[in-house]
Amino acid sequence: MSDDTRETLPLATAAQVRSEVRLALKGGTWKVVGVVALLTLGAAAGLATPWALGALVDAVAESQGAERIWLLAGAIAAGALFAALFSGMGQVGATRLVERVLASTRERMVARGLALPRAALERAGAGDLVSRAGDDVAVIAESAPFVVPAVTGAAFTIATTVVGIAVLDWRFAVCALVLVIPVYVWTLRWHRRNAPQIYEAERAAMATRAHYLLASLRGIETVHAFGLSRPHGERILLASWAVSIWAVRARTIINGFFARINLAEFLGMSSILVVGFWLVREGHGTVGAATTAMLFFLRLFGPINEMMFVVDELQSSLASMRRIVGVIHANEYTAAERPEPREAAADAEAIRFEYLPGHPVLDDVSLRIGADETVALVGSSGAGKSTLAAIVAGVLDPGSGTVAGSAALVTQEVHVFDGTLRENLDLVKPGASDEELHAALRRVGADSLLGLPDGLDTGIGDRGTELTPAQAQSLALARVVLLDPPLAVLDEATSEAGSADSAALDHAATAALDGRAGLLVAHRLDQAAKADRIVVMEKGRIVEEGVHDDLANADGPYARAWSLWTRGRS
Amino acid sequence: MRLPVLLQAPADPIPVRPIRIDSRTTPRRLTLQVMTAAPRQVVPATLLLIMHQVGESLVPVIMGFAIDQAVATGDPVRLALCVALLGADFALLSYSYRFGSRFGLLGIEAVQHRLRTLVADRLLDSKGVKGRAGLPGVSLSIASSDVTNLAKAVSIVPWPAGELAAVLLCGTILMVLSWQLGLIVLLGVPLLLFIMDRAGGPLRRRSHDQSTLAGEASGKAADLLAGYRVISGLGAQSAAADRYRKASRDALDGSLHAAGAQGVYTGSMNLASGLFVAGLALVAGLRALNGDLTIGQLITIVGLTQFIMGPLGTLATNAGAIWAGALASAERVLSILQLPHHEARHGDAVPEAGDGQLSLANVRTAGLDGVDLDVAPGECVGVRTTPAASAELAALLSGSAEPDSGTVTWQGRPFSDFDLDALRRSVLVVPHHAALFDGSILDNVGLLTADRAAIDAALDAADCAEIVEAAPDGLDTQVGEDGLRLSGGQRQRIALARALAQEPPLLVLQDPTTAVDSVTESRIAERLRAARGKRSTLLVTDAPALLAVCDRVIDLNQVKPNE
Repeated sequence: MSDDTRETLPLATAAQVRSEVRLALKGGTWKVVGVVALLTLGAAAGLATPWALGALVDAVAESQGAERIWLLAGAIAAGALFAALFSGMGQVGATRLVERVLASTRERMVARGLALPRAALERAGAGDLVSRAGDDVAVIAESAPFVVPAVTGAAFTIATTVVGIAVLDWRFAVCALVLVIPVYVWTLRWHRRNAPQIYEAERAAMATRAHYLLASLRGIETVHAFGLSRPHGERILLASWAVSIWAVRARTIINGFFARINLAEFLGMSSILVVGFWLVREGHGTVGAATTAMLFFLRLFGPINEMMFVVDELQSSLASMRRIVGVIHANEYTAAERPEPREAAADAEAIRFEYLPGHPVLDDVSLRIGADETVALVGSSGAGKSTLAAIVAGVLDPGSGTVAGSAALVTQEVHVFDGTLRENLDLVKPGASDEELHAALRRVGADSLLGLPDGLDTGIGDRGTELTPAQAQSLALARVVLLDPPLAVLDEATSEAGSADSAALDHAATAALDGRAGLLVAHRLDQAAKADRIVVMEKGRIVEEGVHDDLANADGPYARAWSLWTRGRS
Repeated sequence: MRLPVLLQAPADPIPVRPIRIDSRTTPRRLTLQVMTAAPRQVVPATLLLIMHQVGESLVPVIMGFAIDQAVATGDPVRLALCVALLGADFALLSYSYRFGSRFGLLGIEAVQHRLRTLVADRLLDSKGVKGRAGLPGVSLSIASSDVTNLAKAVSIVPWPAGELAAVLLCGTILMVLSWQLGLIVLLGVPLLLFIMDRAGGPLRRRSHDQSTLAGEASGKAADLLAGYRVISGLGAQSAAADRYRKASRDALDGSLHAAGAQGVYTGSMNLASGLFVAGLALVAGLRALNGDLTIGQLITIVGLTQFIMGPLGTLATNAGAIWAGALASAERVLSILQLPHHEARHGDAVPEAGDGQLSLANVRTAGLDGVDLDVAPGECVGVRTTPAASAELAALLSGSAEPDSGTVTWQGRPFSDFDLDALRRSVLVVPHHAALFDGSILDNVGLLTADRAAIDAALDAADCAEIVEAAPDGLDTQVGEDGLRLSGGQRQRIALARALAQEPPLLVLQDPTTAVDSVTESRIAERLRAARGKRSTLLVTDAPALLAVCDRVIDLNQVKPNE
């Protein structure tokens, strides 16, 4: 099943990522300083070991006695204790800082993602956002906590060691640095040219994997009914292996990176050898000094590797961070502000709308809904009713034309959230009292929900008690009652329940619209017949308008639909 | 010139040894299976990584040799030879790491893919699950993050093996120089590994809590986004964001606790290996002082001791942390792999091609009270019933539940005789909420199997002509995730066309026209009979237009045979 038209949400620039991190760290500057200080102390304590080992050789050479040996071994132990203490605390602090930044960033991302206009989110698919909130957060949580400790510890060790080599003989330091630094610079440039796009592709492949998994899990009944387990499984696994292919390519880049670092190490070591050889031969230095320089240089390998590795981890984290921050900065998707309607609940004028250029779904449609008026929108499916309803409700913006006012919208896509009945209701009015919640349920006739085993605290949704379609829809209507908006748009809000419950649900819809203006998209015409006014649409235009009795007796599309509807129903 | 890139992931997944799961598999056993599942990658990776570590430990040895033989003697030929030797050693350590780590990663990826296959197969298994399926977002998190973490267990052998080899090599050299020092290494390393396992306990528990909470948070995000239309329709975005924030804060607490445990663990392991080095230094120093070791030997020992700290540290911290994380994820992966199936029994009989008779005789369940129902070949039968009873009927006919008493037969044999997938190809029960999947209209209706004539006939019967006409790319128009680019009525008609295009011998439809207008509904009703031809149809609905075209209608609300 090809999927070439799925658009993804944007990626942030590196500058946007930086400003987002700064924002998340706001007020935490002292914490960063504290963590760096702890890690530096840890690195300093870690230097006790090489120092004591050097002193040990001296102590033996000069026969300073067993006491001195015990003292030096004690120094190594004490150094290890302090290094473990400070580095451990610094590591914990760094991880906590990263986790905090990550948590506040992912929260901002989900908040922004939920506030995206419908068109933008649905083009990209929920899988893209879910993957950014899951896979990408996991990638950062795994690598970022080690960046600060590695940089701090390694930088300190490298600096002290280079100074140590220079004190020994400046020619060792100059020669090694002149040869080694250009190789490192070249290596970093090479990495920067190759790594980012591979990490980016890997994360995009993860999003595709999440997208397919989520689609199959949500439509699992359909997958089973049509025996689609195999093709869907294959589709998921193809996406899964694509991630693996990218992961191996990313590792190839890391390997190439390390090979270049090894080259730098080899050049450094050989230059120390050659310089030592020359210094000793010319009588400018001793064999002991050459040995010490070599031991110092050996000790640089670890921290330098760590530093370079951090560069790679940073690129990897950045690829994920750009995806997370990209959603926060998706400003081009901000919905337009709407004016208040005058003496009406909503006023839409000369609306045009197209999902794709050249395919108008609404073509010059005007609709005014009076305060407390109930308008029914009828017509064949695909006539543009749902689009008009979404535009009036404010979840879609018209292509051209003006709309004043906005409303609560309940569609046939009912979703029962994972959580308690209370949580499902007070989403629209956080902190609502039990009485309010009971009243809202009672008003839409959802008495069966009130009788759930734990009342309002009964778990419902995917992991709790399964609601019948009719219960789920009355729950959706109860949310409207609780929200109490001046205008409610019910787009087939009572259709999915099947015909058996229709009478009760129609009653619930009427109750939910009581005392407010309503726009009702209805296929069940007996529901439409009770409305104050009926608007008939066909192919993106309004073709008929009036009260039921007039329309039913005229010779228009409504009359034809009505006669079909009443056939077989008494 | 570009060198060929070796050892890339092939286009098709790499096969691994089977991973067997049953109801008694523990997280520990699963993790052990994972570690040994890819010997073809793990063995070369281990050998190469050992070579790498040996190469690394040879660097100080070669340098010491060079100082003795070249720097001290002033012989330029020996210097050149030593530099060449050093170059060869660097080539060895660099290339063995390059390919060793790649073999290791290929092993991890191969096993990871295998685990993900198992998880996906279980999630999609046609036998379903007993009870409720759980939150799709949580399953997603297990199938992605936890599978990734568990597969990392593959690296527990190769990398530590290299590090252990380096430690043992150093231990052997030390043993040659002084048996006391060798003993310290040989006794100290197992002790260190033991401490590592003990100290890892709290870390394992915290890792488990952390991955559970992280899974909950991404599950919450997925759930809220699935209800996006509800949230945006009611302007509840900020309340929904608060809900996620709460889950995210819980996950953060979990991570902060795990970070503390990780810090304590890393700190104590570093302390242990530091004390180990202090012990070595003490013994070596005292022995040298007594004249049992020369200064040269002491310098070698000091160099080796300094080197040994690296592999010792990573050996102690990495392997333990990976093991702890893998165990925690193994538990969550098992929570899916060990889900019980629904309880209906199945045989392996395959229904004969073509028509058949469906018979329900005195079927009783919680909501069905002694139902008798027959659908003869070619017949179209309407059923009126309550939503609850219709859901139970659908579960019975789709083979995912069995009646408390009574029999359900197809082609004269009980349902439980048949292979489930084969039965469902014969008796297609379309769910009331039929989901569309992203792809084109054609993909969705044909499911890549139906022939074009059947697709066209089905689209016509479900009155989809105007949908296709209005769609920008006709049949190739993408329907979007969940079919959300179509309106509700359009989705329902496309879903109906999909069911008709499969041309099953018996088609069970539940309220297939609730989202379409009366004109369209009556058009569909007129065409439905003709589209089904000589095949049988069971229509569970109250819609008069549909019931009017049925051969007969059974009202389960009124038939109470035992009263």
